[in-house]
Amino acid sequence: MSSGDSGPSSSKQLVQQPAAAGRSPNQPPLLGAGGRKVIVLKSGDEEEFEVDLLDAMQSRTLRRAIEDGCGDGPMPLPNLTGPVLAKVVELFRRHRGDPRWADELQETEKEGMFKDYAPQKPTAEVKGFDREFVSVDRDALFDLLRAANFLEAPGLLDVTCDAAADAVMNMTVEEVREYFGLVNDYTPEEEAALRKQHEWAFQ
Amino acid sequence: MAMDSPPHLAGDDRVHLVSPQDSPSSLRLSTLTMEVMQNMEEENPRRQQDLLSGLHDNVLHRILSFLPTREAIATSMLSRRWRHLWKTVPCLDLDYHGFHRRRCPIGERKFCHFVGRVIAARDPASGVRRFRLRWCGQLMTDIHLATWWVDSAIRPDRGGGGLLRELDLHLYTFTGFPLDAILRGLPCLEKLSLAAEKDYYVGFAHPPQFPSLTTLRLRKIGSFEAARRCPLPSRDASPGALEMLIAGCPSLEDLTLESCSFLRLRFSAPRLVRLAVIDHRRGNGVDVEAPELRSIRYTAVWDQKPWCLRGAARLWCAMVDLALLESVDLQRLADALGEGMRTLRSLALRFAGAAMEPPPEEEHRRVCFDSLETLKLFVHVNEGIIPAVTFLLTNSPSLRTLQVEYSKHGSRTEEEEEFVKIIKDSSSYLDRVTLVRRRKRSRADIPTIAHLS
Repeated sequence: MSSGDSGPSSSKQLVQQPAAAGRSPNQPPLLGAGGRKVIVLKSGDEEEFEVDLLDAMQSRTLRRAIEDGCGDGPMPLPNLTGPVLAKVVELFRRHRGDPRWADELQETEKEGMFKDYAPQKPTAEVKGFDREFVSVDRDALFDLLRAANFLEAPGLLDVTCDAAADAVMNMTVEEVREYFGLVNDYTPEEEAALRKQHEWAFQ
Repeated sequence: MAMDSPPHLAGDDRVHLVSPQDSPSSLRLSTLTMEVMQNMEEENPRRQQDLLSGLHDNVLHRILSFLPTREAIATSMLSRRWRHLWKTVPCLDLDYHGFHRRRCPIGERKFCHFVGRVIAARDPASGVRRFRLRWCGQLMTDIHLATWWVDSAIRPDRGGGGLLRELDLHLYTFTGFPLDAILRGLPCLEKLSLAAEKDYYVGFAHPPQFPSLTTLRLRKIGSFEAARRCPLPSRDASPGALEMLIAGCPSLEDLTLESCSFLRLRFSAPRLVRLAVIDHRRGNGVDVEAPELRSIRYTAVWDQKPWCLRGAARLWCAMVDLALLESVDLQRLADALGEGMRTLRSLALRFAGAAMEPPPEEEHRRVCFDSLETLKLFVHVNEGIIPAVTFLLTNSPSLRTLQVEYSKHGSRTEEEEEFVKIIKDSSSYLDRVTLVRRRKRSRADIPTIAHLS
């Protein structure tokens, strides 16, 4: 698979790409057709997505990359597949201007980078979209969770972690292990001791 | 470990792709890439199969923080990595109902034991951001226990509490609980919920200040003024305490008062967006100045002095349920909404067993729902209803959707037929009309604000 082959090398590219010459870190990168700032994200399977700069800022990873001046060309994200990235981009778009989703944005706003940015509360429609967003099967959910982890997007993390917590609620330990794909690395003696130690919680 | 260098992993992966017990290949691949990118050290080669292995502990913390504390503790059985994770999760969610199915002395003792152990076992250095306690112990000693739990959980270092964002306490009563002291010194609090099973009348020696509080929910928390009417008022009550509490929250956006007793609550909340006054039984309603208000839900007995909104020029949504009244005057409704009448888009009215009266002739021009698009009526068919509904329809020029649910309890068949005919005739120009007859009246039919918006 292409994502696996290109993984290590292009990931280094993202991290190590030097700041473009003659650009100050705070300067807004590209300007899209309508005068809006856009950046291009490239998934592991070579799909390209155009994202509004304000939306991309909801991810700390993308934000760091943009501030380091990587926003000029397509930004390779080798460990995200096209469908996952498409979903994430759509979620970012829906949550544009949501203050809880971009906790660091306030600072940047003062610097004058996002003057047209007005924080707003998520509407009922957006909340409905969030619910829809995570009503997927386990593997898709974990794809999103890993994407959230990699992108360091607090809002996306909250939505996916909430869904994961909902899924394992009322499951037995064995079922949760199976759901998360965990390997029990306790020895039987240890497990028995631990169970005894936490007896007060399980009775 | 040296053997887990990236090329080796990539090669190893292809071998695994064919094995049937594996999760889908793309998933595994991305896990591996992620691990390489973040230079995660591999402690255990078997963890490659683990869906969570590429994730930081703080992601697992986040998952745990959405679980009740009891479930979170159970995750320590999963594997070594999870063993101590729950001790540093910044959330405590202690619910008696999740613990024992019914109230019984043994269950209560177990719960006390459980909470004590949780608080003792937690890592004292990690602060609490969300604390929720639901506990229905009725004895004085139970309340003292609850005090100790709350205090030692949110202030592990004596005098801390600066991290707390969300505090949700549901106790049998707050009598004997030092609410004043607990609520002091919580500068970051964003959500506060205080619920009691028994009417409690609140008082503050020092009015609490919550500069960033956005959501306040009170249940059975009454005011000093209402307490004077009550045969056994609490000693804590002090005048104007509810007003003081609300005034101490300048960022308040969402306010819910459920079954609270107060005579007339007058306050101004510059950033209030949602207001719900539910089951207001005693007193003279609320008098609110809220320029940003978008939705109001009001469930109560219509009193001599009804609720009123002042300056609510952005009101979108109103749900009014006045269940026990004999007759309701639409004029009064319009007065209560104030400026909000002109901006209202969605209105739900429920008058079980009550008649509606149109406003007097001379006021007809003043009462006009200019922007109303959706109207839901839950009514009882009687003589007064037809002119009132006709009035509502003719005075709502932007109306597009009408939904009527009616009961004909005790009224004659001719009346019902006439009512149906009038509704059909006068609403033929609308986009969507629903007319449903209810056999039985039940409170479960009351729509919530979520349905309306």
